[in-house]
Amino acid sequence: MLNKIAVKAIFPITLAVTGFVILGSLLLYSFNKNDLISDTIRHEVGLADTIVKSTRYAMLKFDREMLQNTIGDIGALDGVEHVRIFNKKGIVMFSSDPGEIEQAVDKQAAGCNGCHSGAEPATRLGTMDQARRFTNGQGSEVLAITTPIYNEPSCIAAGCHRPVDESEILGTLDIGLSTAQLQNSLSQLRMRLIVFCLMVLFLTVGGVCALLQRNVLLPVRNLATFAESMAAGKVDLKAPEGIEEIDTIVAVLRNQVDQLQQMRAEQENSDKVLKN
Amino acid sequence: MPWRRHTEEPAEPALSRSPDEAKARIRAFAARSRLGQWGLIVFLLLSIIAFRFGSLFKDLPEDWQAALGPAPPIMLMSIALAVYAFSALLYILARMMEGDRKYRGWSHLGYLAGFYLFFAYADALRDNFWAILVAGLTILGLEHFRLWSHCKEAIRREREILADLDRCSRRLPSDNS
Repeated sequence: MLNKIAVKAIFPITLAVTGFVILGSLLLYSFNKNDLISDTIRHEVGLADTIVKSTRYAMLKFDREMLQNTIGDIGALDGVEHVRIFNKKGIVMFSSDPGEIEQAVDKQAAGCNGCHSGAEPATRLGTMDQARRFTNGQGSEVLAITTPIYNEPSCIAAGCHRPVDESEILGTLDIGLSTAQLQNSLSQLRMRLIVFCLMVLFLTVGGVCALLQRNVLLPVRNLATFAESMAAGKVDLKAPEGIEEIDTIVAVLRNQVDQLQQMRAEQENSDKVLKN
Repeated sequence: MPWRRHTEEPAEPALSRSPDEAKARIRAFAARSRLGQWGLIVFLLLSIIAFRFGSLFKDLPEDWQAALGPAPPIMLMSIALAVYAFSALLYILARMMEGDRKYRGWSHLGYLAGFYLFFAYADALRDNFWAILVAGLTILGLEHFRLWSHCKEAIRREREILADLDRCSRRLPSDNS
């Protein structure tokens, strides 16, 4: 079965097309996934900056109650897993979960070690370096952003903080959003790519198979049947036609059979002459 | 012209061979047809190793990582993988048409191992492992099929020659008598 012309012609094309379409889809999915994650991170960094800016006035007024209420309201929004503000020592000052307030965080924990891995903590991080992904206690995946709260002249004027050259960063805001929507988008993308892959494969492999069957395999099979019939002595069969090469082979076959029949007739005649 | 027509090739003087020679050639072709299987097995082992230990680069000492330098951009590596797979498949299909008899899967194993290494070093193997696996299975699978079908055809021809030789040797004693 594996020696048949159909297998030899169709299998390599099917394998090459299938493999390359799957490879292309996997790479495309990987590119799109990275783009979606980068966009989500950029969106979250923007959200974190908005929160820092919107809580600035409450900080300047040292209105802890307003600040805690703002953080609590943001934390209650759909898709927001946590919002917390740490001071420079890593102690949670405000949080959407009141139980976390006054708790200390290890500087080597995820989200902190981005800046605190070296001897001197880094004060600036790239947008993508501010993000981390983890699974929370409820088992859902969270994409969290840690953004620094920088010291400004107005912070010193309020009399709460030391000059900027002594203390560049006052604390950090940590916000975690559920990745359910991102996962949903990725799942839809996967489904669409699978459907696209199947359609492309069906069209290319099906098209190649149909064309080969119509233009090569069927005429070759008919030619094989025709040659077998001629060998069995049936010379008045309709020959396969429509393809130049096959027409040539049929003409050669017919010519050979005619020559053979002529030789047989001559042989029979000479036998008869010899007998007489 | 790279693809010669069958009629332009001289016929082999098949019946000048001895049966032992034909049998030896059948054994050689059978052994050669299994090369592609070995290539696929080695690649699967390599993939298992990459899947299991691909994240070890992260644990390298910092001075080693500094000496090695930054990893190439993942986007460029992915494009290189797609271009490599495309050109390798085209090349194999072209050699299939030419009737090339050499197995060239070992060099592909080297390239694929290189992709595993680079993606692992860039800490992006988790996202790109399946792409390299599919590329490798397709390229090595096609290379295996190319060589295997060529060897099967050669074995079929050798068996026909062997049968002809057998018929000739049986006919000879009766001719002498």
